[in-house]
Amino acid sequence: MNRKKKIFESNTPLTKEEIAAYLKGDMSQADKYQLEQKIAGDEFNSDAIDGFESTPEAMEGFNELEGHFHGNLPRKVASKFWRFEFSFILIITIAIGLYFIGHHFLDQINLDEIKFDESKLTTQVRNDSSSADNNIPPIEELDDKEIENAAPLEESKQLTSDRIIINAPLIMVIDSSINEIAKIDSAILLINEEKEIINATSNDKKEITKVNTTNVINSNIGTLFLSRLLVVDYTNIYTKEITIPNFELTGTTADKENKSDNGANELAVNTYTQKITYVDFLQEVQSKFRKNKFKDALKDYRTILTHYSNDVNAHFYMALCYFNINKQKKAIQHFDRVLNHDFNTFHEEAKWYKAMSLYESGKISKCITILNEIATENGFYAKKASKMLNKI
Amino acid sequence: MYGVCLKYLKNVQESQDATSLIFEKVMDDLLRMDVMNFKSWLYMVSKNHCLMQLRKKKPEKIENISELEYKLEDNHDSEYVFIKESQLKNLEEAIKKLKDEQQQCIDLFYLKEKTYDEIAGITGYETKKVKSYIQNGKRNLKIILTENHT
Repeated sequence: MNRKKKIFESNTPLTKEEIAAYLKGDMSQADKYQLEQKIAGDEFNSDAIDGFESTPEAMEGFNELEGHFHGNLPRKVASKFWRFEFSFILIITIAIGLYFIGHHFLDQINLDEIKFDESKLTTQVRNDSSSADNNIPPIEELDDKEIENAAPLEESKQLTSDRIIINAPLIMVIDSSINEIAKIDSAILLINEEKEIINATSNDKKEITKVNTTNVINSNIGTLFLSRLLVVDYTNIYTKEITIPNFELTGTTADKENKSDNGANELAVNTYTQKITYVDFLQEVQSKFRKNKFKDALKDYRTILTHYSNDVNAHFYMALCYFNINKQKKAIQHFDRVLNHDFNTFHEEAKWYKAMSLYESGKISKCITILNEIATENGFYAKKASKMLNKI
Repeated sequence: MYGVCLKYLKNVQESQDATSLIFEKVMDDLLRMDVMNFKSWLYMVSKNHCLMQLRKKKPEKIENISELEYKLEDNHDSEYVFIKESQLKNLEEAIKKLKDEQQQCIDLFYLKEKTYDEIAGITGYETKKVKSYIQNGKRNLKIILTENHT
């Protein structure tokens, strides 16, 4: 049993000396075995050795890297740490101050009265020069109440984030410098590994749609991962910040201080608009989607569309949210926006999921038409489409 | 980190740059986040960075990415699967459920204490295959043991 225990023993990272000796073959059988145990015991070590074995000349760059870390980073980290501590103290001080200001009045106000009606935001569609489709009429979205009242699809049918990831194609960005075969192979390896890990830890294991070299999709725009979900990288396109309503409790206003009791008992509510960069806001929303909070995410995607009506990320993930809360008509409208979008990143996925949406809404003949198209186009979902056609 | 970058990026200069970027990012993140299993977290951050690098049009834009997804709720890494002492009792049976080649390599490596090259000599598999059978065998064992336990 003792030897078997070693299978799951935690292993320390490899040192530079160990890697160098192993690569040179400059060690006894016993030492080599000990080192290979460290390699086998840890994927991190294993990948690192693979890397050095494939590029032995890289060992020479080790010293340079170490110099960089020792020379530059500690100072930077120290200053950041100081900033962190300072911020912490500042936040605590402000929190204590606010507590004393607000404490007297909190029991006399009805917080419901100061809540915002976020649905009003949807009526303010803002024009933005970076949106390419200002002429396309916006989709009439559901309001907050309709979203909250929607009865979601049964869980087993929902397109949860895990299911989307294990069924996702590999989308590469078109660029001659990265579309080398070796790099595509590495990306395929990584994405298939990720799918396996996610599926292994998921409560309901599904068949993984594996990626291979024949069905890599080329995106005509850069991409990012936010909360493990693929999005188009609009960092340099959507530069205007997103504004969201916010409020703060400010206690008694200066003009009412030292006046009658009536005035002193009122808590002032300072409403203001908070600005947040597009990518930070999207990160928040993707995190909600990742946690399968589709109704909350839906409201936020709606906010994004009021700023950037042509945002393919919002259209694609919003369509999935509508699918999951069983509002198939809306889902199809958004999938269509994705399919007609200049950025092709989600084209194949949108088509496949649109077929699912048509099926769920009982439009079987339309669903069959799309499935036939997917099957004959021979893309990533071709086999799945043929399988589904046989079932229908 | 450097080795992992080399594995996936296959270029010394790109890997050095990526290692520096990951290092800086990790330093920033550690000030903001609670990381329970540092090594696994670091490994996943490194891998994810490489994947993004492979798919990005302009690698120099990487520093613009404000947040990656490695928050604690996303601990999908198999390293986080904790094998308890009691689960090890079923190890013998779990090993039998593995594919033959994985079973053989796990047995030779962990029980007979043979090196990769020695196993390759005994079995006729390439050394790379031996490594991969051990790695995948281990991952499958974790899955089998945790599934049996729940």
